[in-house]
Amino acid sequence: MTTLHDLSVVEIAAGVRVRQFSAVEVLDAALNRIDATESHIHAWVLVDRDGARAAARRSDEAASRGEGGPLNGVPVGLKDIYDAAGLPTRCGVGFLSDTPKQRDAESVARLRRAGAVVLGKTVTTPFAYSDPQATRNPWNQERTPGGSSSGSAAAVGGRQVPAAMGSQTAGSILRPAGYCGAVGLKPTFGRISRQGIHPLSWSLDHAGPIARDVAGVSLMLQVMAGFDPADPGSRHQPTDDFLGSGTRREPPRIGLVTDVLAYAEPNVREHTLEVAKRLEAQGASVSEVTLPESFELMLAVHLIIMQAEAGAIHANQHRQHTAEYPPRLRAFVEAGQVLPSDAYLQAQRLRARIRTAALARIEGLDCLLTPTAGNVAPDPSTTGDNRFQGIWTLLGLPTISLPSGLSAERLPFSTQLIAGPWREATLLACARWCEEVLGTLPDPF
Amino acid sequence: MHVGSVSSQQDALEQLTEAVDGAFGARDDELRASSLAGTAQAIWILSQQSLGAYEAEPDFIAEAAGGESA
Repeated sequence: MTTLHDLSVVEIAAGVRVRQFSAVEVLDAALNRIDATESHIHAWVLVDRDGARAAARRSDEAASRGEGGPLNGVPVGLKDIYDAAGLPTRCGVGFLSDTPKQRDAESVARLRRAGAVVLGKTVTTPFAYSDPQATRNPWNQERTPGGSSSGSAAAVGGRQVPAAMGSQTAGSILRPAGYCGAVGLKPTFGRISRQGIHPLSWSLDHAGPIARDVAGVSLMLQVMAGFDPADPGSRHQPTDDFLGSGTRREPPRIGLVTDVLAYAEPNVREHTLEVAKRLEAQGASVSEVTLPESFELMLAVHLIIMQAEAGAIHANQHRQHTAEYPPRLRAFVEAGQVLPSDAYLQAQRLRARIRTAALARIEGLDCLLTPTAGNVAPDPSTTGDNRFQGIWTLLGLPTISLPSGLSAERLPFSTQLIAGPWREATLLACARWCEEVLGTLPDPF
Repeated sequence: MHVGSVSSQQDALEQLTEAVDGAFGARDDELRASSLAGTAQAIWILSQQSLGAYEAEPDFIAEAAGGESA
């Protein structure tokens, strides 16, 4: 039997709009689910029960007047690097101020204007880097949920909340979403404002949603996309009909990126080839393509840029709180602060060259296809393998991860799709088509 | 240290470790050693690439000049 906590973003918004159920009932279902499962997965740092209830009541009042935005009454979680008015932003460390923020991040403000109910803050690895936290995978509590958007992915995968916000500098939206059996979307660099989100790397940071299905991330993107003068990376680009584009029925033209498969574990490699066969059997055109440059070079360029920028961003804070920095982040930003300037500049130049070559690879195709990660969720001593996501983050291209089955250990497999810049409508349409072929996952609990 | 000066991955690691130790003090830390090894490998890979003078400019140069990037 479907209960309210099982419903998707689109189903909740539709149900609240026609008053099939109330936003307060949806909220209560989410809170009950959190109470029942949180001790297993530890996805939240703060559940704002009172604030969420007040917002849900406003959603119901709006619905009763025939008003309310496209996300009216939909509960959402925010990774704890997003500012939300009235709540502190602690970024996964103990030394930041507990003083509530005065204003929302721009993306959060847009979610609220669309009627979303901010349910609280989800666990992030410290400053969205890779030191693992207490959050566990809803499919197996001996496994990592991935990171750095650990809590957002675990909360959505564990059906505590229909959607949550993440951020990605290497693979921090798609990988945790993939490990936890959710859908993660990283839009084109510049599509969603990063104002009010704690940075890790200016030229690599992306904001994006995690939801239960492709339609959910499409609707979230619809309300958040658009230029913001407060984010220097934001771009003037038309906002397409992201949700409506998913109704297209033509089978997609897919490029299977074969050379990355050598870096995946055997079960992931076999699963990805099987996925490609299933899509082809349903009418998709699947051709084999290769990376624009070697995997190792793309990873090296990504690492140097991210490390140099993180070193600069953290220089002052690291000096003041050195002993409180978690070990992985501390090592990363210390080396970032001594990297030679020519390493950073050469990496940025190579990035431009790789991007040009990558766009040529996508020409004539709707999307590329790879595994989301080279493995299923590993043990919680790490946040997993970010290589398969990071190479596309480097290029600023839109990417999405889809659940595509369960492993023999009953852990989610996930498939990543990649499109050309600003082609989210195409990407989401491909993803909806693939989702219909690949099916959905059951409740992990 | 600069990219053009490294003669091998091991040399990159030694130069990088010396720079980090000099800035933040030496310490015995497995995660740190592993992180430095990864960065040294990346520097070595970059050092093997050649780019023409105007073959590719960093995006932010075009941006600063009023253009658009990804």
